[in-house]
Amino acid sequence: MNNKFNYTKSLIFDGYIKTTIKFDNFIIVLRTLSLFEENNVVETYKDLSNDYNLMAITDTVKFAIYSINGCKITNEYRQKVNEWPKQIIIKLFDEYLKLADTARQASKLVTEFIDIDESKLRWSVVKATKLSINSSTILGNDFDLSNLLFVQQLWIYLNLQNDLNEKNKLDWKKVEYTSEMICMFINPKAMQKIKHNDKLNEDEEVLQIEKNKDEKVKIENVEIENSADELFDTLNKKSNESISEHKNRVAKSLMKAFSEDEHDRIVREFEEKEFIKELRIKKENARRSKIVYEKKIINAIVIEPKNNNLNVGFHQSSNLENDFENEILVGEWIVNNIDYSDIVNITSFSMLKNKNEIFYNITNETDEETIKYIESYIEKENELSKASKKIQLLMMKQTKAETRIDARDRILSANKFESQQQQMINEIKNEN
Amino acid sequence: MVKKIEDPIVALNSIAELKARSKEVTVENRIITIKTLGARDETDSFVECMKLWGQAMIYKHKLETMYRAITHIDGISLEKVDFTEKKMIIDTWKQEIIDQLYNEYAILLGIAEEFFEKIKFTAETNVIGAKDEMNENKDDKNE
Repeated sequence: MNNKFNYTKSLIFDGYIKTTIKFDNFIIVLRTLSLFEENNVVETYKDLSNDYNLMAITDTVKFAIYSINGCKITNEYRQKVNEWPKQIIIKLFDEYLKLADTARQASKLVTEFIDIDESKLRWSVVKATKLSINSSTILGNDFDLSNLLFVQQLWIYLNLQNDLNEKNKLDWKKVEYTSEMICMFINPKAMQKIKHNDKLNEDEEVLQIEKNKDEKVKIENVEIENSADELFDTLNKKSNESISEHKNRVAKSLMKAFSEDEHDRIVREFEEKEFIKELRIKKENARRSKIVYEKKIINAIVIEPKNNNLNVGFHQSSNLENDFENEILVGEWIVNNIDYSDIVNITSFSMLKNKNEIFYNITNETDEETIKYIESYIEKENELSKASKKIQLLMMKQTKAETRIDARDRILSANKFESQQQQMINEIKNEN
Repeated sequence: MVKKIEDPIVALNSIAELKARSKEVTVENRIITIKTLGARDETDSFVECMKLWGQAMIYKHKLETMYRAITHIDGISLEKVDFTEKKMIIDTWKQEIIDQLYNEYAILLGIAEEFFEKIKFTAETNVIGAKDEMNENKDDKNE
């Protein structure tokens, strides 16, 4: 029962909170005033002089008294409070002020309260059974708010807003569904791809939310698992442990820490693929450059300079051949006069355990095999760029279609004829 | 010991009639009962006097207080006597009687003030409200 929403719940569902005051042989229960009662006191005394302050607080206490020694006080008897000594009334009013302050603080929690299950449940019951709050009846979806406390009005308003948001979401889903159907009709493949991507995104969001929840729970319960902690814990020798047992335990922990897990494997495989791809591209580029040079040599116009050393404005064949042949490179990562060191020295690739093996295999691959792989790389990239272009086109088309559908919905909401909407759908179909 | 009260009038009266609020004064062989004013009477007498100054205000205050403070004469209740009529009768009283009664009233007021000062208030805000200790006590007994 002791949670931070207790007072808020009481204010919303009972219309007041209470305080129990004990003195002498009495137990007086005071409650917070209803909106009507508060207004009544304010209206009566706002224009009167301060000489009437005592009466103002007497009237407040009069309305606030809920029970005396277990006897509930009803409105017809409240006038008797006028005869109470002022000392008692002032003391009771002081307690009422504290109660009113508690109520004010509790009212501020209503925005948080509407998100908890109990509030949602109570709202569903109120809606479904047409129950009333403080005798205010529900007229369709609208409440007669005049007799309700501010906090009750706020609770109803926020819940109505939530309902409206849900309805809007549902409406939007309907529109989305319609547009999807149209797009499916126009371009099923692209639509399937978009749907697939959406599904992936949704799954990812759900996973992320679950992950965040788990992390939050772990943080709250202080149960964060840290492999490093585990390793360090292991290094400390237990009191009842022998030296050999301790050594074995440390060795096991170290092996566990260094062994590759699922995430490490995925990262390694990705890096290996990238490394292989980069090596092949470099190799293929070098091969093509060589061909270009060779073609240049063949196609070069050989001009024998005369003795007058006339500047003819372009390279002579002899120089080209010399340039190409003279560049003989030497180094650890140079194979067939091709320097792969810039690729191998990339940090992520240099960390690969089987870097040497991969390097040897790829550099010694036949040119035919390399060309085959390069073609497959190009094909994949082309497919990706085509797909993205298609998606872009589809999105543009979708926007047009959405505009049409919006227009249709507007017409529908204005109670126009079915034939008109059918005509519009046909127009959209024809256009696409 | 807190006793359960069944009737709302009894409940409200029990606080209105808290002890140390009334006194019997003998004036010229008559027993006049006076009672400290309630919140409403206190305000009314105060408001009536605020428009006056000096001695006039003091005298008026004495009268206004007595109109409301005198509850019985020789044990006969004046509750049902019309207030205007009551005022007219008291206005005819000698000034000395009013002064004597007011002095006694002032002493009574001092005693009452002291009594209310001593009363210890404890308050506990809760959601179940009536908290009805009476009911809780009942439950305890039943158990």
